[in-house]
Amino acid sequence: MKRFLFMIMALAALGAATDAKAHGPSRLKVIKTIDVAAPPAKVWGIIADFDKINVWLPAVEKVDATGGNAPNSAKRVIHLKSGGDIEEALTRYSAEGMSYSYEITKVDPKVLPVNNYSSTITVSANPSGGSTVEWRGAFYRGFMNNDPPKELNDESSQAAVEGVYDLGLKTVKQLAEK
Amino acid sequence: MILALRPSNNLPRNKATSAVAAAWALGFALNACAPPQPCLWITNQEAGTVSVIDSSTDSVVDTILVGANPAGIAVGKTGRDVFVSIPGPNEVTFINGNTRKIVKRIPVPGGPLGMALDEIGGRLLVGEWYDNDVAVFDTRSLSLVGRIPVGQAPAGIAVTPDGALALVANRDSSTVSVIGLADLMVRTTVPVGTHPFGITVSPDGKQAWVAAVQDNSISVIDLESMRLIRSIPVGRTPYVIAFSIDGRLAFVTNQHDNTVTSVDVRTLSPVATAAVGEYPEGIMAHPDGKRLYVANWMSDTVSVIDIDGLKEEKTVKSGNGSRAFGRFLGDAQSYCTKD
Repeated sequence: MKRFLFMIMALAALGAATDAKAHGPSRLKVIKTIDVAAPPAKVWGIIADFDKINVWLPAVEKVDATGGNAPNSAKRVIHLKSGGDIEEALTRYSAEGMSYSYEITKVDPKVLPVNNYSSTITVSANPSGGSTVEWRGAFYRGFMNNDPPKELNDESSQAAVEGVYDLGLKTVKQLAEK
Repeated sequence: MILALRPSNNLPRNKATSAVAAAWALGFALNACAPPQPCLWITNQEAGTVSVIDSSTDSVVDTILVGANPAGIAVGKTGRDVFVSIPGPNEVTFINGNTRKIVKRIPVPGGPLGMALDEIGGRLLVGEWYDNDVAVFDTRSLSLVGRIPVGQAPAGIAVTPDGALALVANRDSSTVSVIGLADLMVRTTVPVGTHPFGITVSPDGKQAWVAAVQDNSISVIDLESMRLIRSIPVGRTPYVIAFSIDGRLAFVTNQHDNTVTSVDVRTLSPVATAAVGEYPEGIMAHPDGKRLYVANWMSDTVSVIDIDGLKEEKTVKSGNGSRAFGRFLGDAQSYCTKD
């Protein structure tokens, strides 16, 4: 009887697993900014090239990219030092506005626990004569269904993205203020 | 107008609300020609709040803390019944729109998101995202009437003006379930564009327009033949659709373009595009026929758009993560007043 019950439960779990959603109902948002004591043009120079994120994001081992900074054609594959790849596509680019947007086209939630991720990074002048860099992202958590495991829930997904943004912005600041 | 004066549902009333209803009816009679100036109820997902905006001034007059991640909204015609879906803790919160107080928190375990009111039948329909069904509640007792199995990941829900049909956009099945509200049975399932999200019925009740998010198009369903009759290309990741009060134009929020596109309902072709905030989602026309409201999720704002020139004329700061997914104003509410 016990074995039978276990089998039923295993089947039910299997059923639930095959019913994976494209994403959950609630998109998450992370917005991080940092003030930099350097002119906007200098700061923009550090982040401007879509294929050189390795310069200012220390978690990146190397980048394989095509298409330069052309929106809707530029693509990059980020190879992380910790292992794992993230594939991304540039969707909007304005050198004049010192801003670009991109989307993750492929990632294993074990590498970064997100789905349907899109992001924008912008440099602007601030009143103190320096620059402000803003990095903002919109995404769904790593787990698609109800009752997510802790490592793929809203909080963990948000924390993972916040960690990336903090590291990147801090590095941009260090490089620009050198 | 007579319809508008009739109480739209059978929820228990206390003396205070009856008095307000009487005053409201009197005010309405005195201002028979003036368009209603209802409250807008904007769910702010990250803030865990609902912003109440007075449409006569386009300013925030109240902020109601509901907790967690409010997403969907369903406001009754008179503005007295306000339902908010909160997918995280799996509940629907019922707010008395007159007192702006939370009356009840209703458990809806399957991930409640899209909602619609069937005011003729006195029922609230709630899509359960994870359970692939629509939970039906009696709006008087707030008790569960039943569950209707639909497609995968039900998102937007709309009810026809005659109260005969409910339409459910099944995001992950790329279909629309057509439910007969008399017997709460699925009549048919219509294939539409990839990943439908928002769904809205035209004011004449003849068509349902669905935003096909991953197809960058609007799917138009003819409700007589129950067939997809047209796919209209719009901006990137269209989410929610609204109609003008006269029914001549439709408007869609394009989330990844940060725009609203207007479409001629007769010719089914796009007319104009307006820039709004980032990640626009909920959209509805004001009963004065002149204005459109759009909730911008990333920008934490509500755009006020002039329909004539299709241009954003004002931005109202609402709260973190404004979604307002659903009908967020009551067409027949004369004034945005509080008891």
